[in-house]
Parts: sequence; C-alpha cells; structure tokens
Amino acid sequence: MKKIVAIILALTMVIGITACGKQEPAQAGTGTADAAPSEVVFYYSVNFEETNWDPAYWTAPDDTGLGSVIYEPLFEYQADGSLKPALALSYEISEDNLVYTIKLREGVKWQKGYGEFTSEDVKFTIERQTDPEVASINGKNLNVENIASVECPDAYTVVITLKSIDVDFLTRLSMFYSFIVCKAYSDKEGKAALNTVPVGTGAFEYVSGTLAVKTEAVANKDWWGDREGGNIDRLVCTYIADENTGYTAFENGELDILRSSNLDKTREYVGKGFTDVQSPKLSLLYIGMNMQIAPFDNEKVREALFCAVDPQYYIDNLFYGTETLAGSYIPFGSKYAITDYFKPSYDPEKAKALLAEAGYPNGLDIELWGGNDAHGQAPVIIAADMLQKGGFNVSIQLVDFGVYIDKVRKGEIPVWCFYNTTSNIADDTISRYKSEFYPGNNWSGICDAEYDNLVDAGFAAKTEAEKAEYFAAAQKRLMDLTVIYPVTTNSTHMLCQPGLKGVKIYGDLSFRATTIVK
Amino acid sequence: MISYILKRIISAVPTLLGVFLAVFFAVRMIPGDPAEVMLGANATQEQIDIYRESHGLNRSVGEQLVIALKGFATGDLGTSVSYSRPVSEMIGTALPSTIELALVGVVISSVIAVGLGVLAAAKRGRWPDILINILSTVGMSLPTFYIGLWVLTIFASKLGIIPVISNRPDIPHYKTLIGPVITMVLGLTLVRTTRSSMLEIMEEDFIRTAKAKGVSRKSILFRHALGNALIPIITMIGYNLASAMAGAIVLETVFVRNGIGKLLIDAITVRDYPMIQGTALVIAALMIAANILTDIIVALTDPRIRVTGES
Repeated sequence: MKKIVAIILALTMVIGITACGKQEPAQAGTGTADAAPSEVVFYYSVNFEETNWDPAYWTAPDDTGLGSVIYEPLFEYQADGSLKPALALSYEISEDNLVYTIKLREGVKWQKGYGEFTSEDVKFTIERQTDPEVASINGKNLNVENIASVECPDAYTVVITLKSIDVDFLTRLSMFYSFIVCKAYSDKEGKAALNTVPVGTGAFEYVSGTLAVKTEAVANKDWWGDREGGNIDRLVCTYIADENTGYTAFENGELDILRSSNLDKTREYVGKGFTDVQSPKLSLLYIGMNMQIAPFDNEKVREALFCAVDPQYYIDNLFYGTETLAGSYIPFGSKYAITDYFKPSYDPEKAKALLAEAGYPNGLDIELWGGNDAHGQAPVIIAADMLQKGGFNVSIQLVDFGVYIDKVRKGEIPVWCFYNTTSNIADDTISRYKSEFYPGNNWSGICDAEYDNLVDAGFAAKTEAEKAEYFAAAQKRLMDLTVIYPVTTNSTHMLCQPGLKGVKIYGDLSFRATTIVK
Repeated sequence: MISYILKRIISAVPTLLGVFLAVFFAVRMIPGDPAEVMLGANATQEQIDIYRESHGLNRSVGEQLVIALKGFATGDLGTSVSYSRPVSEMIGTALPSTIELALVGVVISSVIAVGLGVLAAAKRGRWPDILINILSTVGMSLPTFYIGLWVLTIFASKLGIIPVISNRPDIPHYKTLIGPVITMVLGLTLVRTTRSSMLEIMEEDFIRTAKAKGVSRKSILFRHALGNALIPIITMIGYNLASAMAGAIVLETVFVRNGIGKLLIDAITVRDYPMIQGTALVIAALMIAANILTDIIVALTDPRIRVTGES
C-alpha cells in the first residue's frame, strides 16, 4: 500500500509541477502571444543577448533587438551618412551653430494608448540622460553635457541650445541611444517601466516575451511611415546562443533570417539558394600591440609584425572575398574614416631582418591573445601562423571576453587579434587612444602628444570639414606609429530564406523588418 | 515524518548560506569586471563608472557582502547587472520551464531505463544484455551537448518530428519537450544501476525459494526482484532529478529553451554577480528539495527505513 502511495505522490508532484510550467511565461504586456492563422509571421534570431528595453542602457546597435522597430529617432541615419527625417520633419540651425530648432511630425501616436508624440517627449528623452535615477550610460554618446537647454515653444517644435559647437549633434540624434521614449508612459508607470514594456511610435508594437529568450511584436496599424510594400504582421525574435542550433533551425525553415558569423556555412547556404545580405562595414579585424610593454615598445619589433601579416590571405581564405583591405583603424562605415592611407607590405623576410636589427636574430617569443568564441579563434590562429613565418615564436592565448577585456584594459596584454566595431560617429574610437585613457580603453598604450592634440582639435572643430581634416590627420599619425594593424573590414551577414524580399541592414546596423515581404 | 521534513528544511538553510557565500566569493575571483564586459570594448571610464555606481559595483566587497546577506535573509536576490531588473523576477520567469523539463525528462527516462535494466538482468550474458550494456555505456560516455545536437539533426532536421526552436507560438507545447527528453533518455544513466541492483537481488535466497515454489518468471522479476531492488533505483532517480535541475544549462542552450540554466550561463558570461548568486542558490535549493523528496519516497517504499525527527 505504501508503495502505491509513494508512486501516486511522486506522479502527482510531477503532473502538478509540469502543469505549472506548461505556458511560456511572458512579461507583462498587452496583446496576445498567439499568432492568428492568417498573419504573416516573421521569425528571426539574434545570437547576442538583448537585455534591456530602455535605450538609456543600450551600448551598441546589437543591444536594441526588437527595440529598433518599436522606437524611432528624430532622424534616420542612412548608409551614406546622410540623415532622413523620421519623427522630425525639418530643422534649422542658428548662425552661431548653437541653436537647433527642430519641427516635429504631427499626428504620431504612441503605442498602447499613450496619446500623441510631442516636443515634451523629446525634452524628456534628452533630459533623462542626466537623471541619476535613470543612470543612463549614453549621456556621453549624446554629448548631453554640451546641451545648455531644451525648450518646447509648442507641441511640435523643440529648441535645443548647445554650449559649444558640436558638428555631429544631428547625427547623434539619429543614433540608437537617442530613440525617443514616451513621457506620459514614464509619468504614469514610473521610470523603471521603460525597461519592462517598451512603448514607442515605430512600425511594430511589443506584445509579449522575455528578453534574451524570445520577444514578439505586431505591426503598428497607426504607424505614420511607409512600409514600401512590407507585409509582416508579427515579428518573433528568438535568442539562440548556440551557433549550430541556429543553423539547424534556419535549414529547417523555422527562421526566416539568421545572423551568420560562420562564412563557410554562409557560402554553403548561398550555394543552396539562400541569400546573404551583408551589413555596412562598421567593424574591422585588427592586430593591436601595447607599445608600453616590451618588446612592443621597440618600433622595429612593431614594424616586423606589420611586415609579417598578409591581409590578402585573410580576405581570400577566411572571408572568401567578402571583405576588403582596411585603410585605417576606423572602419569604412564610420564618419571620418580615411579609406586608403594604410598600405600593407607583406614581407616575412624583412620581418625577420627587422627582428634581428631589434636584437632578436633567433626569433622573438610572443603571446598572441584573442577571444575563445568560434568567431574570434580563426583569425588568431591564422595570425599566429603568419607571425611564425616572420620570425616570431607565437604561443596563442584564447580567453573569454571577460578575462580578455579585464587584462587588456589593465595593459597586461602585449599583442592581440580582435574585432572592433565603431559607432557611426568615430568619436569613441578616435578618442580612446588618447594618452589620458591609458591604462583603460587605450589598449595600445598610445601616449603621443601629437595624436592627442589632433584629436582635441577635431573635437573643437567648427565645421564637419574641419573635424574630418583633424581626424584624418590623427588617424594618419596613429597609423604611422605602427601599433594597430587594420587587417580587413568585417561585416555582419544575414542569411535569408529564398523568396524573402526587402531585407535591409540600415546604416546604423539596425535591422527593422519594416519593408520585408514574405 | 513532518518533523523530519521540517528538520531537513531547517538544516538546508546553513547549506544554502554556504553555497551563497561560496558563489559570492568565487564569482568575484573570476577575472573580468561586470561593467567592462557589459559595456564592451569602446566603453569610456566615465561610462564604466556610471554603470558601476548604478549597480553598486563601486562598493567594497565587504559592503557588497553585507547587502547580499541582508538580501539572503529577506529573500531579496538583488538586481541583475545585465537586465537592470530584480533577479527573483527573472528566475521566477525561467524556473517553471526548468522544473518541467527536469521532471518530465527524469520520469520518462527512468521508466525506459528501469525497463531496460530489468531486461538486461533477466537476459544476463545474452545479446539483449550485451546490447543494452553497449548502449548505456555509449550514452553515458557521450557529452549531453553532443547527444543534443545529434537529436536535433536527426529528429528536427532529417525527420522533421520536433522543432529546433522550442518557443515558437505555433508549436504545440508537448512537442517542445520531445527533443530534450530524448536526449535525457539517451543518457541511460539508470540502466546500469537497475541491472546491477536486480542481479544482486536475483542471487538472494528468497528468489531461489520463489523459483522453487513455481512462482511465474514475470512475478519474480517485477514483484519480488524489482520491488526489492527499488531503493538504489529510487536513490539514483533522485540523484538524476537533482542533476537534471543543475544540468539544464546544456539542454536549454541546445534546444533554445528559457530556463534557469540558461540564465546562469548567460550571467557567468557577463559576470552578472547577483544573477549568478541567485541562480546558484535556487539550483542548490532544488537539489536539496530533490534529495528530501527522494528520502521520503524511499521511506514510503521500504518499511525497514524510518524517517523521524530523531533519526
């Protein structure tokens, strides 16, 4: 009898607890997670975690996830660097370049019934960047310290006054960190609510899901914009951490598009009739050295490394011709990048001779560091092989990103091979190599007064042309120091199911799905 | 029995506190700063400082420990560094999925493994025994991750029986469990325990007596032998249940399931200290609960075993 009781007890617990777990738990939100049969549902995946809904906490375009279809900026950044009006209709800049009067689009509705979009929302979005309770990490990106005031003379006009000239201010207003958020929603539900359920004005409206697991949005019927024939009713975004699982799901037809970081797989699928959409080149593969650490404090050693690397080999064998030589340490897709300054000179024999001149006639032992993820390992292994032929005795150190970034920021890594993504405005990458940021995010230990002065002059420029001139000179100066070897450009690849039309990766690397026809 | 359960629950508190403290210090010994990892390569010191301050990472380890212990005492697991939301809320969202997978997987795999173990014992030395031994050895030897990928390839990609992505709204819920459960079944960890336990019992005098009295083979196997071999089997099932809770990381990653294992692995990647502490604590609690449950079922199964508040 007791055995029967035990079995019944065990089964009851199993059934009971199993029943509790039957429904996918959803975050708070309106709408239903069940797709109607007639809906056109678009499935896609991300292989990075989107952990926040609030733009104040996003650190890169990758972080936005569905946020880039839910929220909108005042201006839309185009691949050629130009700005297209979005929530803004037009703008005027005062003669002293300090006052921006922006006319807003009328009749734009906030999702979930939060009324009409007005200038108060723009003011709220900017001012919350300095709110300690919000603790935004994007105040620096928006250069909010340089904003003297934000005024709202009427519901559809916002006047922003700067303290000093910022030639990229409008571009900053087009970036992901400047997506406009709803004041009425924050006032009603509290500041933290923006990170719980996103409320935007964009082409899609959030319905349900859990960040970094799966999120869903439906087409916003009240959206003001033009879908250009796009017919997607519902977006389902799934986070897939394992690369192989992602490819299996894609091949199985469970995903309409897949971000592909394995170019062998990408080629294989393209051969089977799938299409590959490539992103603008905002990232590059590079080899960096810390010139504060011996032996890379020796210019001849750095020059030897430059001679030992063959970027064409990477282009032909790792990227299968989809990437190009990088002209500078700033990627092509970024403003102010110079595209043709750096000229590689592959010559392993010269590398050996330079090492001998530097006092290493029998070769130089070095540790080459890199990421231990699938995407990061291959370039490190290729670099090690090349350097070996150039007289370096290389041992490879592949570590996880946390370990890597901790050590490199402390100035403990002498040489590394890594990818770097720069924002559309190159301010972040240009300024990080200033002397004051070593140790820190000046990983290469560049302490060069001339570079510092050029960068400072660029930031103080009164016109875009002047800033471009200083930033070009700064890039040339840094390239002349032979401390950062820009190997190749690097792009994101999106594999698409056959027949899918209108897939775009925008100039700011965002994916919006608005124009997709399935 | 009730006093026994209460005592076990009370005695679990120091264990949980020990786990919590061990994890608290261990995660802080891993190289890598949460703010630096979260903000990426181009983050300025200013951004890192803001992030550290807003998430309490600028406090000394001692201060962080005091806050964490207060939270432990009050059930507040803190705020996730990566999600900027309460850890308990995130765990509450993920936990049902993990428990569901562990329970369904353990129940189904146990039924199959016990059946195979009994068959192997009954056919000792003959081809079914050899085949089952080979299968169970292979199953136990292969990493779960590898088995999972093969299950995906065969059942999802080739046969189209199961979905790869388990959380699509158009997929019936039961289908999403098939892949992970098949993977757990193929582990076959219980087969060898059942077989050896059965073989030991089959050598006992009372089995010989039963045979001599002409009791049917089926009755000897299932009533007399299996009934008496149940204790180590139930103990092993309890262990498997606890392992399934803790080991959900792999299955949840391969089969794209939300769950506490996935939360933990993501948290370790970005050094989300409060989330690591919270998930480790909950996994430890689940393992203790599974052990208590096993003891209760064992006691109910075997009248020779008594669980009391004093014992």
